[in-house]
Amino acid sequence: MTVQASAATAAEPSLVDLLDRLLGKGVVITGDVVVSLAEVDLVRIQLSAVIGSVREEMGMHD
Amino acid sequence: MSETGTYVYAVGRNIDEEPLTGLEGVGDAPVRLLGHRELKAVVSSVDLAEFGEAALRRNLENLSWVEKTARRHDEIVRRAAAITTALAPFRLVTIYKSDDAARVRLEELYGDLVRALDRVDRRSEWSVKAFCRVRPGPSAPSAPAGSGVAYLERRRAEIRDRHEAATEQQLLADQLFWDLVPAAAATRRLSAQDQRLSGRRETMALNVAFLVDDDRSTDFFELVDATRARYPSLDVEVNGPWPPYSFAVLDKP
Repeated sequence: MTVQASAATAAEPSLVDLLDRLLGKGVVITGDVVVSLAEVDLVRIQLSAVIGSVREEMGMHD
Repeated sequence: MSETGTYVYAVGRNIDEEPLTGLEGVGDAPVRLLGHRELKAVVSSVDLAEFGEAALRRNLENLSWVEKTARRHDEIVRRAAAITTALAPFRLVTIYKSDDAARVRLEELYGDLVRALDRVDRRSEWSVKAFCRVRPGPSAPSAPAGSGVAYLERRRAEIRDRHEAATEQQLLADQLFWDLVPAAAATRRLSAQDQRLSGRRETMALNVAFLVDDDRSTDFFELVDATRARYPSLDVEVNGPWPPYSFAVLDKP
């Protein structure tokens, strides 16, 4: 991260921008809860996949 | 804390534990490092009463819980990104049964992690959005003159004009994207955000993450400024630097 570039930095990232990145494109693929804000689908979380990956990572196989 | 799991924020190279000492992760447990080969995972223990399967199912539907967790996750990732050049952030709520289970997974992912770290080393993510400036446009006539047919025709023409204008703005936004590509090491196009989410009246025509070499960020900004002059109908918003969230994607889940 450069300090020099910080001129363009906004104070706090918006939650939408953050979840765009943290839920959609992380290391493990996501999965069907829709978190809504102002009646708009903020993020679609494929819960089955999140839980599935959690189950797998936790060694909780069926 | 009853039963715990190991929550992984990110994996990187050359991370010292000292600058992270005292930080509290999600669920307020201290942040620590987990070493595997030359890699360091930034982790904290989490209570499975909050982060276990049943709890996550409930908590992920709770916007304030999601926000609190996402902001803390982001904070930890940013702190770690500040002390290394190569960091691969993990997705929200990546949790393992134990430190040992996390190490086993790091070994499985080792090759992919190394490739992801090479890809993002000395680079940062920048968000670029373009909004269509609200055009003054013809205002809808308050008292339609003439026949009903004439009114309908005029309405149709207005709708057609608006549609064409939107298409044109979208094409311009695509051109703007391609103008910036040469300054970036990688790009990822994200979905345009709804106006109610972006908090802007204007329609978002472009939402992109650019991965930019840290020593070329000035070139990138110059290019962005040039596009502002070239596309006056678009309002270009740059935001960053972000940890390389959009570019640490592993090849397999």
